[in-house]
Amino acid sequence: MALFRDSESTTPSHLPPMQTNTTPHEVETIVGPSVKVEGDFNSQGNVLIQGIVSGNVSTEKYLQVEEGAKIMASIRADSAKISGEVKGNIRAKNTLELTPTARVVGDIEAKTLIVSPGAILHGKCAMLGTVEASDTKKSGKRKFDGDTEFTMPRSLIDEEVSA
Amino acid sequence: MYLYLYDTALKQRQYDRVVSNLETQLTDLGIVGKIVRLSSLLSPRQIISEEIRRSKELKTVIIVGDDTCFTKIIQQSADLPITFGWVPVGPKLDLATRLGLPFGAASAPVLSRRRVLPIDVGQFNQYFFIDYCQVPLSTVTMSLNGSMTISATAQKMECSIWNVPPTNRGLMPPGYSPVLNDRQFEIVLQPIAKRSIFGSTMAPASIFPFNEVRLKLEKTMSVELDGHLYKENQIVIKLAPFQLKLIVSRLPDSLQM
Repeated sequence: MALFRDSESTTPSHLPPMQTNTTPHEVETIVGPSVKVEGDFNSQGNVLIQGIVSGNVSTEKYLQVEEGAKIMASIRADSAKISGEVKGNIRAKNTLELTPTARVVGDIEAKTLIVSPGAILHGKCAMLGTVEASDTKKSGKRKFDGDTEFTMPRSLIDEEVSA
Repeated sequence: MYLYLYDTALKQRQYDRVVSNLETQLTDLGIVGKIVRLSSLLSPRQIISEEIRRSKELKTVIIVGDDTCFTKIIQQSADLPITFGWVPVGPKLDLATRLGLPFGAASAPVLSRRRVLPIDVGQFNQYFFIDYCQVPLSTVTMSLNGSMTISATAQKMECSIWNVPPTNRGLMPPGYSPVLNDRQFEIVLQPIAKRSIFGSTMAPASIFPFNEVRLKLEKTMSVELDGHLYKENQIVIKLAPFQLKLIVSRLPDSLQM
């Protein structure tokens, strides 16, 4: 029946691998290159940003910021791939990937971080999910891991407390 | 109890045989009911409301007509506490084809089987739509779910909402396919990328899921709603999930329940 989901839809040629691996409907939101969004942007599905977003972006799934796209606020996502420009903090529960064209001005937090050569990051970086990291966040004190001494970035500790 | 609403076009002689066959089939299946012939002077909503008031047993309204007749009645009456059926008869049956409904007397067994499917409809100002809504190219200020505003960097854009995928899939962005009963609507924005003496080129589309969208147009424009035109400059479109109960022919595997 034609009215229902078309399982035989052709996958778009211009869409990234994330979308070609999933059924079309799973890519819920696309902010096109000629569109500007102002305000907080919350989504429960995969998000592809090619345009300009002035406001916090939050999704429970995958976020992709393409080359030429601009986000001027913080980002929260399950996983994210950044190829455009972000002025704000990024927090990814799982993987955060910065491609060679990425320009990030802000602190980043992720469980797995992939930074390609050429990516620009002006900000602090913290890894989520390690026991040491979570302990440090709670106490805000220095921890010792073998011979290596490390601390959580001050800005991230402050953010956690205020949240 | 069934109420049958006959389209005005069915008065034409060419449909006599189809209507006669249909009525025979309905009698055989024991689902006959009251017949009301629509006219331009009668509001379908008024007719249905009056029949509901008269008879508490009225649970089903069957529309006998083409796409134009069906969508016109749905636009006015989708919020009434009634199950709708459709016998597609007439010159324009594109929507019926996309809904997988058999034409004419062949739809009598479908009505008899009474497989009711709750489907999403959109509410455009005071009208409902089942198929699509198309706002022509214009300068639009858009507010989505009350939390964000969306605008085109080149000012003008086209806005479309599809509930049933069109026959020509090329009208929609590649890879996008709406589902009739997923309790979700998406608005597709098609801004102008650049203008030249040879015309305008359109930028890649944007897609936003929404529950409520408010559009403010620069000037009053003709907005197309299931093939009917309405002149508006302030538009509120809301998702009405599972608002319409429609008798359908079969439930495919891909259906979301």
